[in-house]
Amino acid sequence: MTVLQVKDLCKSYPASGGEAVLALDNVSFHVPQGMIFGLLGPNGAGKTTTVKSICGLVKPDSGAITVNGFDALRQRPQALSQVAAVLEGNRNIYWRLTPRENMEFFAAIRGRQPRAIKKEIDDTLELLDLKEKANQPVRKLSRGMQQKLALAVTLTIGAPILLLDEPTLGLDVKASHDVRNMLRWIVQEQQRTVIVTTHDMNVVQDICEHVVIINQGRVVADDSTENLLRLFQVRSYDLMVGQLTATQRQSLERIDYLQLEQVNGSWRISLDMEKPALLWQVLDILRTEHTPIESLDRRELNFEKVFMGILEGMGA
Amino acid sequence: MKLLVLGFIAMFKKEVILLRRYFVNSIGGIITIYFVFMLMFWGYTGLAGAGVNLGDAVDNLVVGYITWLMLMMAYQTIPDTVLQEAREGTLEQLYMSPLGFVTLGSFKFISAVITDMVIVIVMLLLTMLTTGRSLNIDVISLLPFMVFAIIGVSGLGFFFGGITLIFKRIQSYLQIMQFALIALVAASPVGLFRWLPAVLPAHWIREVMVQGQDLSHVPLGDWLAMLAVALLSALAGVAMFKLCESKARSKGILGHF
Repeated sequence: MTVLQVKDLCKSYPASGGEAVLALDNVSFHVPQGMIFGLLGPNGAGKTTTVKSICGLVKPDSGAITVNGFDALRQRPQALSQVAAVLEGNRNIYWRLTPRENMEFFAAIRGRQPRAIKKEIDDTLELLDLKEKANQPVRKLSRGMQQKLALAVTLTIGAPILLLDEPTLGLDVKASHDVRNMLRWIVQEQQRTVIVTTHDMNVVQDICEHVVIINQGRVVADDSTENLLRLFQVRSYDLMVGQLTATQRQSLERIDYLQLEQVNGSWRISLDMEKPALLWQVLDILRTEHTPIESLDRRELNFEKVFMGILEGMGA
Repeated sequence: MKLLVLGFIAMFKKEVILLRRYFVNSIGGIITIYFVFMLMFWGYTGLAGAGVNLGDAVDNLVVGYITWLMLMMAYQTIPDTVLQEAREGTLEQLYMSPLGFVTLGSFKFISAVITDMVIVIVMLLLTMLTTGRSLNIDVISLLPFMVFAIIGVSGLGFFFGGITLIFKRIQSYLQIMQFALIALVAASPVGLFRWLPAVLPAHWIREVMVQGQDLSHVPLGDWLAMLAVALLSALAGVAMFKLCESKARSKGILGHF
């Protein structure tokens, strides 16, 4: 079941000099229910505009956004009731109020009676290790705690879709780990859908089931994290050899889709296996000097390499 | 309806919590306001010279100052809220409430007027004690004029709140409006001035508190004028706010500071 559908979304902003800057160019994707969905892209790619359009904070020029069946542009209040968002990390909460007061306030303005959800608030505070700090002003909490509280607030709002902009930004390893576990728990135990935007590719690889990558306002990849990793993994191999003559190096460097670099006294030849003839060509060059092959491995990929590869057009 | 009630209670509760939590700061505000009044009072009586009985003039000064204080605090609520919420990063969260910001802003406005009334009452008592003047505090007669005046300046509040939404840092212009409010409170309700926000209600507040008049003295034409000006001012302010809101959403600067 699709909980969020973004279709042909276009948005341009006026720029100085009169020319409009195109922020979104026919962006389309859909988000199925009950998963952690990654919305990625470099700075200025259009992620924030997409997220804010979904939240009703930016008015798109054209296109459609459907949130749990509600048209976000024409049925704004109904669509908004389906979404909770953390857009500014630890700044999305009142620092002069306590965690409990924050949770009660934001739940109330979204239509939830604070007294009726007292147990839910207690449980969420407990779950996020915030119970002991429940009655202290937020400004006295650490950044990690503030960020966890921002997440707790979105949970008490009770919306089925959570939009989190950089949920682990600025957190230490432990706090980042806690937040990731929390997000998994939200999806698994509460059957909610979590959409995260992040620059941290470890987070993507760790928790996102599906990603959409936006670059220069366009969707350049829309697939499961697993598929994207596999797509790049099967195509790339590293061939380690000892010594190469100057002639061999020149021959190798003339080949497209191949990277040659020296690593600890050996040479690494990175091959794109999308071109099957390439391997024979490389082996022929090595055979001329009977160069011994030290190892041949499928390249270990992390999502950062996938991300960079897609942005550079290698995944196309 | 349930959402409206919950929203109002939440906003009012937040105001009360912050007032109590930062009570020392609130006291500091009262002292500052009182000090400004005292400077005005000493200056006023000093200019008149010793032995001169200023009588109604001092009464008018007290009433004018208190009315201005009440209206100034009310007017500032919306622009200050927009500015502070944008600075703190919570404005977008308020916008994501199905109630919308105009409703939540109105709740905040009403809550602030109620809590600010504590400061206004304390100030009224302090100024009466200091000047030794006794004013007619007929709450039943004063209440409708206060409501009309406050609704009128809420329009100004929303008007400048909308501009704050787009430009954010416009504090100096907001301060200019504080002086404009002095003119509105002090103006005689004749000619075109009659149709400006708060002018006629402020006149009747003076009439009640200084001259001891009551609701029975107010002509029907004044009632209608006060009602029309208050509603039109509020509606025009909200319309301007919505226009700026739409502009801010188009430009993608709703929560930016």
